[in-house]
Amino acid sequence: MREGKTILEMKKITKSFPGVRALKEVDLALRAGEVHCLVGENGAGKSTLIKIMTGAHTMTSGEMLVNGTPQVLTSPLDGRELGIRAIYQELDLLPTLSVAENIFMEDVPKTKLGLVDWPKMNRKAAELLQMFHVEISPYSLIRDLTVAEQQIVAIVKALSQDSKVLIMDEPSAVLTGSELERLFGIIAELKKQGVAIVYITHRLIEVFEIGDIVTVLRDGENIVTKDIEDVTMEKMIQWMVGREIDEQFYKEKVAIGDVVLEAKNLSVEGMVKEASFELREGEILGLAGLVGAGRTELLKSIFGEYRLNSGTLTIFGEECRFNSPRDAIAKGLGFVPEDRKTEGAVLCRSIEENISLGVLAKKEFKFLVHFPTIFKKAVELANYVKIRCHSLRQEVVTLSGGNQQKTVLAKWLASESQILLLDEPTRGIDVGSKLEFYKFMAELVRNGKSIILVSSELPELMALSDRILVMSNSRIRKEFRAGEATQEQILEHAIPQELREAASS
Amino acid sequence: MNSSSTVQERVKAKIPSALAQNPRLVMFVVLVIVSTVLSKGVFLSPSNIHNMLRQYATIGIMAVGQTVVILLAGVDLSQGSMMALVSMVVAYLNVNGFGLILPLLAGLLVGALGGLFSGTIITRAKVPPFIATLAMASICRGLATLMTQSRPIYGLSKELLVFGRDTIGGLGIQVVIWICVGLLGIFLITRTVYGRGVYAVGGNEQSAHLSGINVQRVKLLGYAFSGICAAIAAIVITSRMDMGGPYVNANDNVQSIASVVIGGTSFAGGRGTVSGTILGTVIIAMINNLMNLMLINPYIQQGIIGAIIVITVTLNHRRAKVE
Repeated sequence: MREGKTILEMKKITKSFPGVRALKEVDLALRAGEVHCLVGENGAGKSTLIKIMTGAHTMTSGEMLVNGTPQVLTSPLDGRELGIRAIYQELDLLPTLSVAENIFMEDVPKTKLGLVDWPKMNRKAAELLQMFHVEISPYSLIRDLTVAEQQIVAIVKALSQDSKVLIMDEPSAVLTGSELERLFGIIAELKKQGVAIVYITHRLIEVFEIGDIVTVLRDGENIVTKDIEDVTMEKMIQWMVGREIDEQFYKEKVAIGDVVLEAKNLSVEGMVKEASFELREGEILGLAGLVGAGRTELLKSIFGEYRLNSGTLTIFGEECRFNSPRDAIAKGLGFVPEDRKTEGAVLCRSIEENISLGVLAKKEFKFLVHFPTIFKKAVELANYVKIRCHSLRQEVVTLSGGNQQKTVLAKWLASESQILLLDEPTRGIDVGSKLEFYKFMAELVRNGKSIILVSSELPELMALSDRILVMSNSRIRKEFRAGEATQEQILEHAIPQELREAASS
Repeated sequence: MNSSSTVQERVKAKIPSALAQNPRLVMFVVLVIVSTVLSKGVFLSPSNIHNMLRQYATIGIMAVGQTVVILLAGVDLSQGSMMALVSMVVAYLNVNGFGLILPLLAGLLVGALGGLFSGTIITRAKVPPFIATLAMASICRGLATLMTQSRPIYGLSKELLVFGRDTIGGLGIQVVIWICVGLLGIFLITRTVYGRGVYAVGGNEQSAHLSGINVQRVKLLGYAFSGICAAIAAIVITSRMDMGGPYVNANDNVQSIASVVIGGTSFAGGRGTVSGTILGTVIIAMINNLMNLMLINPYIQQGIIGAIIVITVTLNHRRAKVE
């Protein structure tokens, strides 16, 4: 494992921003054919480090050697020149252009006349895609692909120009099951080709699945770099948070009360099929399934975002028909969407305004706002959920992911929602904040609220839920009680019938 | 990245923080000083200032409504033509013996309905605001010219002329109306549930919707408000010109949008203030006034205004980046 040639070496890298030291004398070496996992909480310096690697940031002091020669990168173009490429979470693909066009964005094949050589471009794109054994047409438009496919295109794009170092920033955040396996397959292929890979992830379990070596960053310092064989999960988390963590999850025993929400045969055209279940006071009901199984759609149809075609929804003993989320909110529902940036928060407005939105919509105020009252409430809630900020007038866009999520949650506490629908609430949040979030959920159910939790992280879902419903192909397939099922059993029901048959035949 | 960050630091170090925080205010102060010096004090004379404000009251009134629409990440290109239509309706009813109140109410109603109509096309048919209001502009201009085969309507009754000509306590009535509409706009945006909704919808429509905001209604009312502001401006202009004109102020729409933009409201929606817009209108008025005092060719003036829009927006953009 250690015989790979060192491609990139960083020595005593320090990066200061006005007022902050983001990195302190960090050392890091990347070897050919090795997957180097980079872990750490948000703000630990991971993104700053990879931006220095690619040339997007320049270091304040330190030295970077590429193939043994010192290099000073001043822009991502320099990094690209040296074969250092990064794939960020927000894929830099153009949705309205074709796969081939995106792959050759920076290096368009030209004919003798200087015009685009379309046949050559599409042919070369097809060849590259073939290398990864993926069935994507070079002619497809990016916007017609799934997120997983888009990611593969981004990888192919990065590799189209002979990359030596490939940096992947949380590539797995949006993938599940088979897609993840495919990604790992591609990474294995890249290793064989001698590419040095930097893999950043919050799903620590993956470090053990594909990593060769792991570096833990905390507060801008390299805490440890070790071979994966010499690391345990507990140790890694400890290094990340800098203290002993006795538990990864947090769950309290809470008395389960009466049924607060009952769904009978809920159907929404093409999204949800005959979903029936009940939710009780003080309960956390988990929804397991692969991406596209209909979990988000089920939450949204309960929340009034999608109109029900058939079925009945009974909330607090009253049959409800919601025409919009507004009606659902009035009935005491709250929804924390999967994507806090596009659906959860209004990023360009203040924390206070975001928290107050739910209250305003609840018609407690008809036209005039008594600002001191709602501001006081917002302050209270911001303290309660522990949003870290200078001021509540700060724009939400300036907050970290975890704090943005807390802001969205605080919105629903402000409107005193009794039933909370949480869609991947801990995605992209660091370990410390996650635990805080779990404790918080425990406190909510202790206070008699009920939660429906969607999570693609099975260990999390299994640890937190009182019951788990497994969905696939828009249907609820199976119900498990807490502790009743193993990951394998849940997955077995999460994988659609056709796929299972295809696999066994 | 790095080079830009050092530029930012340099910019920050050199320019006083006042400019970094509010370039409009600085622009205003600079303009006052420059105008005063260049005009040898004429600029600061009460009559000059008063004339300037009277002249720009209509644009100021329109711009207040335009602000709400732009905060909603939209734009209203129909304000100018709406003014022509309202002007014709008010004048037509007035000269045909319907007195004062009824024509005014009818004018406001036309403005509100026109706005609601644009808003409906935008929210229901999902037509982009630019196209919907452009179509609306064409419809309004068409109706305005159709009413009299494009002839102006003369012979308005005396009482209708007060809005453009009389004064209250030394202030022209149109200036008073501008101040009232401005205060109403500030109140609406900063003190009401509706205002919170405008910022949320403009900032992120989907988040606002999932937070229980009635997005369609917020938008509809925004366009209706813009239409009403255009109608109020139309009443002032009709009164000032003593006629109903199917071609009045075709250019005012540009100036109303310019006021909003110079006033610091983001075209992407969600960020901006009505008070900024009011200052924006005053700045445009001052620049025009200054150029008039300096006897600059009016055709060149148009171009200079255009250049100023570009400069302010660039400055705003850079400031947003620095933050």
